Amino acid sequence: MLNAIKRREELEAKITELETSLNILKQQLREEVEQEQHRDIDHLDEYLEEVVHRYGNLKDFWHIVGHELRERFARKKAAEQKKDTGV
Amino acid sequence: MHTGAFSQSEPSGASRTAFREWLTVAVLVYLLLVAVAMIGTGFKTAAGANARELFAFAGNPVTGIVIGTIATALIQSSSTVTSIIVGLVAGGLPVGIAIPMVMGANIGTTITNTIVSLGHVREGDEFKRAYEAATIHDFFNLLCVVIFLPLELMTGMLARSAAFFSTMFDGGTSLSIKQLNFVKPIVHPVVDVFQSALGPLMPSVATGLFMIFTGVILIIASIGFLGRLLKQLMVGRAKEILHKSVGRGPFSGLVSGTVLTVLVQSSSTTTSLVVPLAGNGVFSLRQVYPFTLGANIGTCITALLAATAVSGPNSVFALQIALVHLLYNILGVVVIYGIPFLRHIPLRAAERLAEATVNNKVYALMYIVGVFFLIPGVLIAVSNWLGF
Repeated sequence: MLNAIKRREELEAKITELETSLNILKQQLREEVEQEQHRDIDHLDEYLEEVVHRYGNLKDFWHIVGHELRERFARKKAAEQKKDTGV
Repeated sequence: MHTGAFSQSEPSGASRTAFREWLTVAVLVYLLLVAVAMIGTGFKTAAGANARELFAFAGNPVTGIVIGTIATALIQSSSTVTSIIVGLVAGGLPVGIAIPMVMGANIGTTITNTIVSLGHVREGDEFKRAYEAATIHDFFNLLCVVIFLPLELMTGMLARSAAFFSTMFDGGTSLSIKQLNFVKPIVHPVVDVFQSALGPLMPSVATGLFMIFTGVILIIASIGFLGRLLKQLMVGRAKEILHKSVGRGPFSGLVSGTVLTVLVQSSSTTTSLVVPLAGNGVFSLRQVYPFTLGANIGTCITALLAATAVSGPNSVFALQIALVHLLYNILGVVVIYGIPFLRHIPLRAAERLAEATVNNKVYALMYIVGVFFLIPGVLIAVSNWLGF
């Protein structure tokens, strides 16, 4: 009986210890994330520039969409040709 | 000694520049107010008592929403469109027709940050996060319309509540703050001079149309320049606000989004700023979500400001539509963000769309064309066919 109580107390102590460590880690993570967020906010001027040049940003997008569409049609055409030759 | 004199002249030069910039801001705000009053007077002059008939085509609420959405998507400024709507209401456009247009303006404004997010298209995960942060605003505003448009059509709750407040602020009672409004006396002489100068040159309908056209151009130009100038002037303040909101939870995010939008007079700027912040992975989607919603509330300040420039019997309606915009956006945040089940719908929708778009960029194109142009057109056709 005494052993069981002692075992339980040991487990409780371990859990408390782990919880404390976990809280410390969580706090550290929160602080690091917040520091990173503060650093990012300091670059706000650059992000504002990005907002101003939004149409310039679309160049890459059109290029990629065009490429994807061409690929898609090429695949479809190839599949149709394969089907035709199979028939 | 010489250096001392030089260093003394530097701050005075900087303060002169700042003074000039703030003076420009004041002039642009004044031009905005003149423009709103000009649209109101022009619409009254051109349409007379037929304003309701002129806008009969927009009596269908779906058409109203689509007009608001497409106009805002093309101009890329909800403040501009709502200010024009305030001017039209001042000229006789019924508030009932204007309400769906204001709701549509909320949807149309979301296209800007979506375009900004497409700039990250080559970056894989960064693009996914940026695109999520942009489209969460779209889905929130779409959900807002889905919930509040039927409610408004059934109960008129927004129109009624706004009418109550507008009568309180702009009514003829002794408690009215109408007497404190210093905007109308400084705006209307300019509009009157403009009108009387055009009067002898052309018929009244042409005078009215010319005034509406000039007013719209002036609003677009003044809000555009104002936004650009305020962005430069307020960047330091914006940083301060954002620094203060870090680690303080969603309510602080909401408030800082609101304040930032009021300062830069542009919800598109606020919601577009969120895109790179989320794209970098430094801010999570859940952290930027309330900040984005704050932009919806903050943007209402422009229409409220515009309403102060309106005089005559319709001034109460102009204020009413500006208040409808404010109440609609506040209620949207309270209801959708306040109820966990609803809060998660825009989150999940944005996450799923981003997942699909990362693998296939054509979806992004289909989404923009569909949501902002194609679906609205189909909705108009269907609602007309059903006889709404």
